[in-house]
Amino acid sequence: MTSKLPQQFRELECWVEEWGIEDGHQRYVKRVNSTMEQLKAFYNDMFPRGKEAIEYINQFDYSEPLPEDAANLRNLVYSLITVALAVEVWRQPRVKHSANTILTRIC
Amino acid sequence: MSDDPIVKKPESGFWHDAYPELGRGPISLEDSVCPEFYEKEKEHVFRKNWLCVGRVEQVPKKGSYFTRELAILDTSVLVVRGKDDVIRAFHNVCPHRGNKLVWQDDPFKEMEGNAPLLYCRFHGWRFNLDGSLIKPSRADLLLDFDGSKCSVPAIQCDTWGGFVFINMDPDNKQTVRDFLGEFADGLEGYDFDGPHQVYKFKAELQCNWKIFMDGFAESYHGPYLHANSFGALTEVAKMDAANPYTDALAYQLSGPHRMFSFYGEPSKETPFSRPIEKLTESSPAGPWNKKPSDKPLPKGLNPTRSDKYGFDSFQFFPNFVLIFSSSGFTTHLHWPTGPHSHIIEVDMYFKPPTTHKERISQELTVSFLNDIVLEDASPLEGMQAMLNSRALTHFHANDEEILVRHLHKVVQDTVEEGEKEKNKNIIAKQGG
Repeated sequence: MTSKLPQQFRELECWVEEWGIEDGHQRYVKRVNSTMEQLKAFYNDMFPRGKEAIEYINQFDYSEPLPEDAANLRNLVYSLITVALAVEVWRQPRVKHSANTILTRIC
Repeated sequence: MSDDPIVKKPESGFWHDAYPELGRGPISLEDSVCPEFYEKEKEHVFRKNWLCVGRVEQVPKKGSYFTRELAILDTSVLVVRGKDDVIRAFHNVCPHRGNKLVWQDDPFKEMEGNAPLLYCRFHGWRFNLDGSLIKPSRADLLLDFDGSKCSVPAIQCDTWGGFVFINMDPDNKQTVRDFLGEFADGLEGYDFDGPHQVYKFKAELQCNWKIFMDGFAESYHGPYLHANSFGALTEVAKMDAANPYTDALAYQLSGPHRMFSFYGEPSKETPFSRPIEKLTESSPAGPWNKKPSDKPLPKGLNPTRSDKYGFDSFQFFPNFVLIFSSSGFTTHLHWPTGPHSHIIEVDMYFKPPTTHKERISQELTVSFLNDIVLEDASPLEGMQAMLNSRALTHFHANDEEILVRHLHKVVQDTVEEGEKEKNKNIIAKQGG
């Protein structure tokens, strides 16, 4: 059976369905529609494995498509970035004082 | 490149002293509120000047095209690379009966693609990529028809630095290079050519386009508006005196265009770096692990030759902002959709990553900048609503807000001169 994440990141597999989002705009929409509790739960699990995850992904040749499990891990790292800004900078899902405005990310 | 600064603050300590014609008093805010002014702005500012609509990389091959839906010009623009490799612009309309020419599914959705010719889906008329008619369908039905007078209507098109510009004024005689003037001289030699790693964002905001541009025309709002994002740093920066963190290194005006050069948080670890910045080795100023460019900076960048230099922001008239940083260049295009609303398009052009680590570092930079743009935009819709209340007639600009003063003056002067010229022509016609 193929797994969603590389062997050593198995305990993060529960996050893949929710936060393994490749599309930048969808990641952002997911962030602003989450509660702080939800964002912190993902952040607290993911951040401590961040460095190791980046090193793992970085072993692969950038000019080749990533294997599916490594691509899922990379998408979790992307989501960690999106979520970390809410946790570390704004202390709320949206940018402070921005009401319901967001930018649409095209690419 | 000479290391001598090309701009220095006047001895008096006020940038305004370098540009006495600007004035120093309060500025009328009518140009950002009044619907009648908006109509005149459309006519004299947007329909008579070069407007950037995209990049040459969007039309890479013969037959490549893209469309732009531009409410401020009351038209849809079609940009096409011809069989002769010339990039042309047209009104996106079939000259037979006026059907919109290139669109799919939704006539108001912008699109891009590649086609050997331009084909109208209504009656099957075909046009060459240079707009000329190949063949109407059912030639047997034609009446008093001259095919040479039935081309897709052209719009002037020109390029500079890989940017595609259009000009709606059929009487325009100036190239885009001449229009951009001495700022373009100073950018000569900059490596605009791709390939780029491109990140694009857009939003429609309920504020006048100039109000947004004003927000990116000075940096002294930093410690106040960006108190949340640049927290600890801004505590150092809040002082009632000349401030090396937030005062621009230089302001320059050139014809209708303007620029400022600004101190930047270095793209390396600082005492203020957040955990996610350390993890991804990156900050809003750019990835820490990027290789320095082997090309020297063109003479117009970092005009004070400061070692504290972070970025240069050029505001080309009317709505094209071009920002340079150590990561690459970013454009802001502002497209009015009404007197109190506009679409902002933010496009970032970075060096293509060569490793996954570099790509992840870029992701932090673009994600952080996305949030900073929202923080910059955060006061603007409330501000526009209060300007619309007409409680105020004027606003105030200090010495660090010289570019704000300049933008409003150039727009107001352009409208005034355009109206004068128009009235003169009307009187001349009546006299004749």
